[in-house]
Amino acid sequence: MYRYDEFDARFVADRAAQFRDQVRRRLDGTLSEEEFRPLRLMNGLYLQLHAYMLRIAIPYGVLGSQQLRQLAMIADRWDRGYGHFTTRQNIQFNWPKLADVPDILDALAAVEMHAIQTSGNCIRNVTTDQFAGVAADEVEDPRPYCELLRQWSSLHPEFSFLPRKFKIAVTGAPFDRAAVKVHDIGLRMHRNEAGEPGFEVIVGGGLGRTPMVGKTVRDFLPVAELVPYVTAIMRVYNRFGRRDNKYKARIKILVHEIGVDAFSELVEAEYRAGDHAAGIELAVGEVERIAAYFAPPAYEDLPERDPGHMARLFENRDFARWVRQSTAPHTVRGYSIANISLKPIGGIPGDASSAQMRAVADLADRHSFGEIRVAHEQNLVLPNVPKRDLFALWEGLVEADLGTPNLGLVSDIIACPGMDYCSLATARSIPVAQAISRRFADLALQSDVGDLRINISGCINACGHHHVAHLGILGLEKRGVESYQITLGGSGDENAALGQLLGPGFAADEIVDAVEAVVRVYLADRRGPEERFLDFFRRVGIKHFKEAVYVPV
Amino acid sequence: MSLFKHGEWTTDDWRFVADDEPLPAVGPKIVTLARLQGDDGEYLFHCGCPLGVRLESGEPVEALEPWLNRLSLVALGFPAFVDGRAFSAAAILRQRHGFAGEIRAVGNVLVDQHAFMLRVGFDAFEVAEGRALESWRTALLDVPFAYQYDDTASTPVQSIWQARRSGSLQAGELQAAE
Repeated sequence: MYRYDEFDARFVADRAAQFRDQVRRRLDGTLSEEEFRPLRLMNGLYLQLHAYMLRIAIPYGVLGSQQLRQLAMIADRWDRGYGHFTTRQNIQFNWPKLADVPDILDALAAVEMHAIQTSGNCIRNVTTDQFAGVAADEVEDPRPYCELLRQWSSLHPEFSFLPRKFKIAVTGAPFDRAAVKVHDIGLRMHRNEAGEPGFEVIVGGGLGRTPMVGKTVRDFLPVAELVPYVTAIMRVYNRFGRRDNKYKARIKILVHEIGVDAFSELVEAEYRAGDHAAGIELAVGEVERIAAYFAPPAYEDLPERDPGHMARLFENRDFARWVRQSTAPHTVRGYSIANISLKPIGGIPGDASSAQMRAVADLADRHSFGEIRVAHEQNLVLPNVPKRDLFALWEGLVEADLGTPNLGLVSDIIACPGMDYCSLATARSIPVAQAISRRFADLALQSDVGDLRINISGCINACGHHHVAHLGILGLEKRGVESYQITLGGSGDENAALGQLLGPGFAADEIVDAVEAVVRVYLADRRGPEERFLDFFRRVGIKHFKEAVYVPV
Repeated sequence: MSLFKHGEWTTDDWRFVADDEPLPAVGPKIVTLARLQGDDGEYLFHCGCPLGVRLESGEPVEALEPWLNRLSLVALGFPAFVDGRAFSAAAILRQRHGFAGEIRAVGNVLVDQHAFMLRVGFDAFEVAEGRALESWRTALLDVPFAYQYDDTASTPVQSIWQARRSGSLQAGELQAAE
C-alpha cells in the first residue's frame, strides 16, 4: 500500500497543527461558530443531531493493520468504543468532543491518515473497487491513479469552493464494484486496440434528490492525460455549475441542463486551450513513483487446491457456507479475497467495535500481509488470504462475531445513519435495517433468495443509495409520521439502473411486511433459483409486484 | 478597505469608478465590464493612465480578451467566500492568456483563502477592515506545501510534485522548518 514520504507527512502534520489553532480560537471565543463552520467542515468535522461527528478519510478504502488499530484506539479513547464505516469507504466517529479533535487528528497523522476533504464543497475521498489490485477480472490496477487523484485534489487551490461536493470513483475491472456510473466523475479503466491502458470518462451520475446515471464524455483517455483532463472537467463545473440552488448544484444538473454533447464540447475546448506537456510529464513520473508502493506482496507459490482446505470444506458446513458466500477469486493461484460482513443479524450496518477492529487487524497481519480494504457496501475485505489459511481466518472471525455468511444477501443491507444520528434525516434507517435483518435471519432462506440487495436512506438525500438497490427503501416524513417508500430494480454496477417506485409508502410498522411480501412474490413466481431477483424484476416489471403487494381492501 | 500586496499592507493608488460616476480625468482607475464594453470603451484608454476592470463572478473572463494586453489590472469579485468561480477566472488569466498585470481579489476576501488565491494567480487582496489583518502575514506559512503543479504560480508555497522531481527541497530544509 502507499506510504507517506517526508512531504506527505509534513503536509498532513501542518494541516493538523493549523486545525489545532483554529479549534483553540473557537474554544476561546475568537472565532464564532459561523466563522468556525467552514474551517471545521474542511477537516471533516460535522455538527450532528446530538454531537460532533468526525469523518476520517480512508483513501480508496485501503487500510493497514496499524491504521486500523489506531482507529480502534481512537474509538476507545475519544469516542464510545466503536466506529461506523460509510458507503464512501470512510469511517465516522459519532461522539468526539471538539476539544479532543486536534489530538485525534494528530493520532491519525501518526499513522498517515487525515480527515481532509471528507466534507464541504470540494473533491471528496476518491473511491474504488474494494478488490483493486487482486481481482481476477481486473484489467488494470486503479490504485496508483486513485492515489494520484488524492494528492492532486488535496487542498486544490482552484477547486476547494465548488458549487457542491464532488465525488470521483475509479474501477479497473469490467464488473463494476465501485458504482462509477453514479458518481460525479466515474473512471473505468480499459485498454485500447493497441493494448494501452486508459479511462472511459463518465460524468454527471449521482443519487440524491435527482438520481441520474452518468454519461460518457470520453471513450478512451490515455492514462497519462488523467490530471489535466479531470482539471478541465472541474474547471467547466466550477465556472458553469449552478450556485443559485444547492439542490441543483451538482455537476449532474449542469450536464443534464445543457446536454452531454454541449458539456463535452466545453470540456474539450477547455482541454485544448491549455498546454499540458509539462504537467503530464510530472504526473507520469508521479504515477511511476506511486505504483512502486503497489507492487504485489511476497506471494507464496501455492497449489490451486489446498488439500487441508478442501477437507475442511467437506467436513464443516458452516465454514463451507461462509467460504461460498464470502470469498472471491484472486488473481494469484492459491489465494482468495475474503470479505468480512459488518452486518450481523439485527446489527447496525457498517458499525465495528474497537475489539472487532483489533481482531481484524490481527487477522490481517496473520493471513493477509497486514492489509484491509473497506467496501462501499460497508463491509471489510482481507485482499490476500492463502486458501490454506481460510479456516483459521473464519474461526477468528466467528470468535469476533464477524463470521456472518450473508455477503450479498438480503440481510447485507446498506443504511445511512438516519434519524438516530443525522440532522438532515426525515426517518430512521438503522431500526428498519435491523428489523429486516431479523425477519430474514434464517440463513437457508437468505441463500434461497440469493442475490438481493437492500439499501435504506433516511431522507431524500439518498446517502443510503436506495436508488441503486435491487430493493430500495426511502424514509420520508408525512404529517409527522415516518413513511417508507419502496423502489425496485435499481442497480449500481456496469448496467446501472435507477429503481422504480412500487407505490404509496408504508408506515414504520408495515415496511418489514412489505419487504417480505416483495420477496415472497419473487420466490413464488421466479423460474427457479437461477433467475436472480433483478433478472426476474426486469422480466415481469413493477406492475407484477404492485398487484401482489397492494392487496385491494 | 485595506490592500494586501506582495506580503505587505500597502496604500491603494487605484480608484474603482462605478457606472453612474463620471470618469476622473487622471489616475489609475478600475471600471466595470459593462463600461469597458460600452460606447466609451476605447476612450478609457486614451488618457494614457493605467486601466483596470472589475469582473463579477458570473461574468466570463473571455469577455476581456480584446483588451487584455492593454489592461494593467483585473479585479475579480467574491460575492461570498463559498463562490469559487473567481479562482478559475484567475487561473485562466495567468495560465492561458499569460496575463502579467495585477489580479486583485475584491469582495468577501478571507485570510483562510489567501494561500489558494495566491496559487491561482491573485497577487493583491482588498480586505475589509477589522478582519484580523495581522493574520494575513502568517497564515501562508501554516501549510507551506501543495501537491498541484503549476508553472505559472509564484508563491512561497512549494509544489510537492515538483520538489520530488527536482529534489530542490532538501531534507535539511524540512527539518529546519520543524
